[in-house]
Amino acid sequence: MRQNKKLKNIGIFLLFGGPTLIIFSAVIVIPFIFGLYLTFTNWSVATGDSTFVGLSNYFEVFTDKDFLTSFWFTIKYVIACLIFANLIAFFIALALTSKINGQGLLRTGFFTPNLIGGIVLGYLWQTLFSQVLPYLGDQYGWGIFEKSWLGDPDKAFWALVVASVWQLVGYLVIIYMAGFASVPKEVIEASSIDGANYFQILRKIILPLTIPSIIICFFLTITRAFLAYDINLSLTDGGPYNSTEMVSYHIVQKAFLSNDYGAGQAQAIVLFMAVALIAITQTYILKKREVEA
Amino acid sequence: MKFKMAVCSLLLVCLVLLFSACSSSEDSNTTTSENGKTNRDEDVKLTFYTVNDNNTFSEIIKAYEEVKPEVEVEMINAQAGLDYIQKYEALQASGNAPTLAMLEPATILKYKDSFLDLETEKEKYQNLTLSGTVERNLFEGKFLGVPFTTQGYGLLFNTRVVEEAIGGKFDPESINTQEALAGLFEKIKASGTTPVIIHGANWSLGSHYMGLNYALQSKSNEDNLNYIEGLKNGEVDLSNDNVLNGLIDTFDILKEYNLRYDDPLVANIEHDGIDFARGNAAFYFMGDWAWANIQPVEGHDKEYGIIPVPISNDPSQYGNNEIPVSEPFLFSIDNTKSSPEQQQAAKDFIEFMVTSEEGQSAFVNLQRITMPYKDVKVESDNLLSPAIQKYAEEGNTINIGIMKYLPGDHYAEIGSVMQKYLTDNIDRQGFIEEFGDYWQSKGE
Repeated sequence: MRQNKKLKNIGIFLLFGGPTLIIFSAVIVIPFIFGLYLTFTNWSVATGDSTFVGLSNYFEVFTDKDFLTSFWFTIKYVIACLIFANLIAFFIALALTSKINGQGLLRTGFFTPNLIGGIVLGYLWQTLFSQVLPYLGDQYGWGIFEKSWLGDPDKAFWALVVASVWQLVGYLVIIYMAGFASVPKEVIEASSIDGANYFQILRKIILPLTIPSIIICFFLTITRAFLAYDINLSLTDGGPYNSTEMVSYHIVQKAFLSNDYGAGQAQAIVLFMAVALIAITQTYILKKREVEA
Repeated sequence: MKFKMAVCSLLLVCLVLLFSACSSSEDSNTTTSENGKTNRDEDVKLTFYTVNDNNTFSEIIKAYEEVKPEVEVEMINAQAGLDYIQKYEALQASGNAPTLAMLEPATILKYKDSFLDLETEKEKYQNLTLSGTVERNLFEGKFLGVPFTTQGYGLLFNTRVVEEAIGGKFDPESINTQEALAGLFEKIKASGTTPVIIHGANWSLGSHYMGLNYALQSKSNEDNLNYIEGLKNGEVDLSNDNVLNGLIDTFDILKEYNLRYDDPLVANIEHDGIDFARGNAAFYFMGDWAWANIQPVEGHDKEYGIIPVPISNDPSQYGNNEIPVSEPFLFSIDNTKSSPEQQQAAKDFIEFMVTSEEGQSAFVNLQRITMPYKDVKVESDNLLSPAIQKYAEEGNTINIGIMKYLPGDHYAEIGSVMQKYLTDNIDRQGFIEEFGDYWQSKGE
C-alpha cells in the first residue's frame, strides 16, 4: 500500500513538474553542461572537430588582455549602476509613498522604461546622445553636449550608465515601495512621539526595516548590470574603438566573430562564477543586517 | 477522489497527445527534407537561406512557382549582419544546411567543402556576366557560388557641387594622385563647401578603407595572401610599407577636410546620405549601395560620379586609377544533405533569378542593386551605378578577392584602430603598432 502511495506521488509530481522539468533541462541544464564540455575543446563550427585541449581555454581567459579590460569596465559599470539606480529608486519610492498627488500616474511613468526592451531603449538613447543633445548643445551653447557623448570613451561610459539606470529605476521603485509599505506605522508613530526627526526615522527605522527590499534590489542590479548585453550592443556597440565593450559583449565577439568558441565559452563560465560569487556574498552580508520590527 | 483521478488522467492524456503531436510533425518534416520529395514523385522542395529585403525574394519565388508549380521554394528569411552568419552556422552545425543560400564569399570559403562545385555551369555564367566577374569569385579555382550583385566603392562625388567649386567641367580622371586630391579639396573648401564625408563606422573604415591595403599590395592574389602570412609572422616592415603608409597619408587628407570633423564617430548612414545628396559635402567615401539613402532624400542632386582613393603621387600606381569592385554575396548550393533533384532544381532556380525579367526586376527595383550581367532587361534608377559600371566595363578594377581571407573580426578590430586614429587618439606610430599587434595575434 505504501509503495503504491509513493508511486502515486511520483506520478503526480511528474504530471505537474514533468513538463517544466523537461523544458528546464532542454533550455538550461543541457546547454550549460554542453557549454562546460566545450570549454575543454577547441570546437569549430566549420570543421566540426573538437579536440580535447584540457584547461588551456581557461588559461587563455586570464591572459586575454581584452577580456580583463572588459571585465574591469563591467565592474565599474556595475558599481555606478548599483549606486545611482538604488539611490534614485530609494528616494523616488520614498517620495511616492508619502502622500503626493498623482501617485499612480508617476508610478506608471517611472515603470514604463522597464517595459521597453533593451534594444529599443538603446537605440532611443543613441538618437538622444548622438543627434538630439548635440543639436541642443549647439543651439544653446551647452558645452557638455556639443559633441556626441558616444564619441568619447569616458562619456560613453556615463551614457551607458544613464540609460541603464533610467531603465532599472522603475523596477526598483516598485520593490522599494513594497518594502516601505511593510514598515509598521506604529513603530514610526512611536518614534516620532519619542521626538525623532524625519532623518532619524529614515536612518534608524525605515532603512533597517527595508533591508529585505535592499537585498533584492542590490541582487537584481548586480546580476542585470553584470550580464548587460542588449543595451551595450544598441547604444554604443562597444565603441568608440572597443572602449565600452562589456564582458558579455566581449564573449559574444570572441565566440562568434573571432570563431573561438572554446575560449568564449570558458570566459562565459568564469563570468558565471564571478557573478554568482558576488551576488551570494552580497546577499549574505546584507542578510546579517536584517532586523524585525 | 474519483474526480481527482479523472482530472489527472485527462491531463496525462493531453500531455501524451501533445508529445505525440510534436514528434509526428517532426517525422513528416524529416522525410520531406531527406529525399527532397513530397507526395508526387516529380515534386521537389528546396530551402533557400537569404535576406528578404523589400520582399525581393518573395516576389521572385512567387513568379517562379507560377512558371514551375512542381517546385516549392521555402525561404528561410534571416536578418542581415552578424546574426546572418551565426544563424547559417547554426543550421550547418545542426545538419540542416539549406539547399540554396545567399552567402558572403568569406562564409563560402569557410565551408568550401560542403558546397556543390558548379563547374558544369561555369561557362554559361562566364558568357552571361561581365568579363572578370566569375574569375574573381573562384574559390581555389572552383566555382562555388553564382554572382548576382556587384558593388563598387571609392570617393563618390556630387558633380554639381564639384563643378560649382572649380568653376567648370570636372574631369574625374585628373584626380589620380594625393596632391591632386588635396588641391581639389582645398578649392572646394575655398568655395565654401565641405569637401568630404568620412562615415566613421568600423565596417567602412576597417573593411572598406583598410581592405584596400591588402588588395593593393600586388595585382596577384597569391602575393597578397603571402603579405597576410607575413603580417601574421611579423615579417612585414610596416613603417616602410608604401601601400599602408600611402593609405594613411590619404586618410590624413580626408580627415582634415571631413564634414564630421568635430564628431567623426557618430556614423549615421542616413544623415551622411542626406548631406551628400543635398550637396553639403562634395565627396563621400562610400559605394553604390549609398543610393538606398540618397534616393529617398527630397530634392537630391541628379548627377554623381566616383574616383579611386589615390594612395601615392605616382599617377600610374595600381589603385590610383582603379576602384574596387566585388560581389558581396553569391548563391551557393549545398552538397551535404541535398538530393541531386534538389540541387538541379536549385540550379534552375538560380538561373531564373538572374536571367528572367521578373528576377532582374525584383533585384533592380526592389533591392536596388547593380547586376554584373551583360543583358539586364530592367533599367536601374541608381544614379551611382553608371560611374561604377564604367570602371567595371573598362576593366579598371581592383581585385579585392583577398577580403574573404581576412579574419571575421578584422573589420571590428582594425576598424576600431582606425577610429582611434580618426579621433587623434593615436598617431601613425601608434596605428602601426596596433595594426601589427592585431595581425601577430592571428599568427599565434
